[in-house]
Amino acid sequence: MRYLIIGNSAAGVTAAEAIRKIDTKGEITIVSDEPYPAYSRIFITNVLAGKARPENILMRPPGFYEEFQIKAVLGQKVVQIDPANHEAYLEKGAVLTFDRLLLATGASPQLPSVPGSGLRGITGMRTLADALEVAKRIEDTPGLPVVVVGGGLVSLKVTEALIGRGGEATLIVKSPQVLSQMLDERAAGIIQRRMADAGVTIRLGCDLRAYEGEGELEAVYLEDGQEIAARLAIVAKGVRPNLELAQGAGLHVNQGIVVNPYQETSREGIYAAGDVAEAYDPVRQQGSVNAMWPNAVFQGEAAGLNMAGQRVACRPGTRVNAASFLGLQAASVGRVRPLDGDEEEVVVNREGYYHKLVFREEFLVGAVIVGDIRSIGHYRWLIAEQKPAHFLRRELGRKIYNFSAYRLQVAPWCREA
Amino acid sequence: MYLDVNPELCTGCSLCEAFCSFRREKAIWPTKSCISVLKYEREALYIPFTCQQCEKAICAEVCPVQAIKRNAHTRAWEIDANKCMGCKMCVASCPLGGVAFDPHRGRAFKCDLCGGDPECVKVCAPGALKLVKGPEVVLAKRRRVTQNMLHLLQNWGVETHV
Ligand SMILES: Cc1cc2nc3c(=O)[nH]c(=O)nc-3n(C[C@H](O)[C@H](O)[C@H](O)COP(=O)(O)OP(=O)(O)OC[C@H]3O[C@@H](n4cnc5c(N)ncnc54)[C@H](O)[C@@H]3O)c2cc1C
Ligand code: SF4
Repeated sequence: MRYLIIGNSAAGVTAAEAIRKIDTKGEITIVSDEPYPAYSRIFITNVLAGKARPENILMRPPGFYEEFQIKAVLGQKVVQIDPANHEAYLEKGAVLTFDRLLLATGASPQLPSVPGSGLRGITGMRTLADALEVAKRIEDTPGLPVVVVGGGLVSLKVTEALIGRGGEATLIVKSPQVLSQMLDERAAGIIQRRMADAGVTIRLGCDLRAYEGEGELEAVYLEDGQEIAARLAIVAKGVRPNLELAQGAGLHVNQGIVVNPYQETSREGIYAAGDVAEAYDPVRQQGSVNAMWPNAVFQGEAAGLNMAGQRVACRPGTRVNAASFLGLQAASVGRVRPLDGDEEEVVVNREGYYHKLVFREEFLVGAVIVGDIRSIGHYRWLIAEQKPAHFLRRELGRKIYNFSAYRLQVAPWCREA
Repeated sequence: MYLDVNPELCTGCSLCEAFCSFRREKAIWPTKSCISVLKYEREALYIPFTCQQCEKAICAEVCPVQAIKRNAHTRAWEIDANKCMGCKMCVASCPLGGVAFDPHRGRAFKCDLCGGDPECVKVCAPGALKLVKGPEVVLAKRRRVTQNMLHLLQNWGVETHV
């Protein structure tokens, strides 16, 4: 059996390992247009911050490909696949053949198409190359004025990295709050205060209108007419799945490549997993691209097992997010803003601590936490598995309340503020 | 080895939290404890949440840098603090709240069974925490965890659909 995997990241690598668990003889090939062995994309901002070197963020130890007998074709882009003839074509002309194909091509940053977007100095933050390049720019020119466009998780990580390097950053956010996909207004407020205290300028509720400069970026203009000097703009306004290969092959594509619980696409023998795939989300009750690392791992594993001949449904995926900013932790799962008919219960709301649960009848459908986030995995489980959780409504608040009283009692020994 | 938790016996005294954090931090500091007791006072039900040393551990699977590995001797899943990069994927994935995050160090942490002689077991007077040894208990353990969950839900007067 010949397995071809396009994409050498969370989904692709996990799939290759799963295949190898079952099929010790089959030929496995992984192709990626990135030149490095698999690394953890989510840590590229640690590299940007100068807190990790590329070798610290490898997904697997050196020697991984030999050990699992995987042929890695790195630094080469697949430009087209031909499902009928079971072939994939590389940019540089070579042809790869397959019996089973996995599209784990991930996603790319969405760069807004405003005037001036062709200028040098505008970049997304998705690859190790992006992080290394920005790090070099900043090292070469200390005091370089930087704007970060977008208010999501990646923007916050980039901002924290820049501050960590002693730099300054202005954050431009279209929504009236940061992390609008992940947190409600009050939880975001806690994070925003922490950011402001750290010296970050945040422009909320104001989108970018244009980039300005001659060849090189010099300033950005906001919707309200304000001009901000900037030699570097790091844009993190969400991602879009890399669908070109799937579209070219005539696969059923919606927001992402549509897959069933076995990660099968509309074409037999072709699978998809990770940020490029659209699977059923039990919370939203519809197909959804949940572009998150754990999801890519779960889907990659299921895809690999099914490609190798098993019949295993993927774990139900749902959005679960965990972020931190300068030591302040926040996490959420499911619905962060109640819909009509949901009930919201805010259990604790004081400086630095916040706990909100959203219920629909006896079921938990969403949770937002700022503070000790360890129960978020439990909430995720209650939500994804649709377990009744009515009891939380009555008692969880008390537990947290007791807990803080307890903390006060032990305060003399408790170093935490 | 793994820690068998029996909520029926737990009195909610939280000594396990205190001693766990004291061993780790030389301070009574519940947020730095590997075990955390959820309290449902009205029902007088207390559930100590901690790692169950799963056979197929989600936390280890999702860790982007493979920082979570089995200790060959105790079979506990341990986080290599030198490798951990603090992404919290493991925290967000564990259904039992078995992994916590230390914001001061920027690292995740979890129960390592104290190398085979857990502090919490020693201080748990009612015997709600027990150290169970041997791989043959794995299936029993699985059943136990789900049964406890179901049982508790029923105790709370919630209809279970399982
Ligand atoms: C800075 C940053 C921080 C993040 N933080 C978090 C976080 O805290 N939590 C979280 O859950 N998620 C986070 N994410 C998202 C997470 O990284 C992704 O969900 C995950 O990487 C998806 O994995 P994947 O395997 O589906 O795709 P990707 O990681 O996108 O990998 C796809 C690979 O395929 C390659 N490829 C694409 N097309 C082709 C082609 N035609 N030919 C050859 N190769 C091709 C790409 O170059 C890439 O290497 C973060 C992402 C970034 C960028
Ligand atoms: S927080 Fe550390 S141990 Fe947990 S998944 Fe991330 S890197 Fe791995």
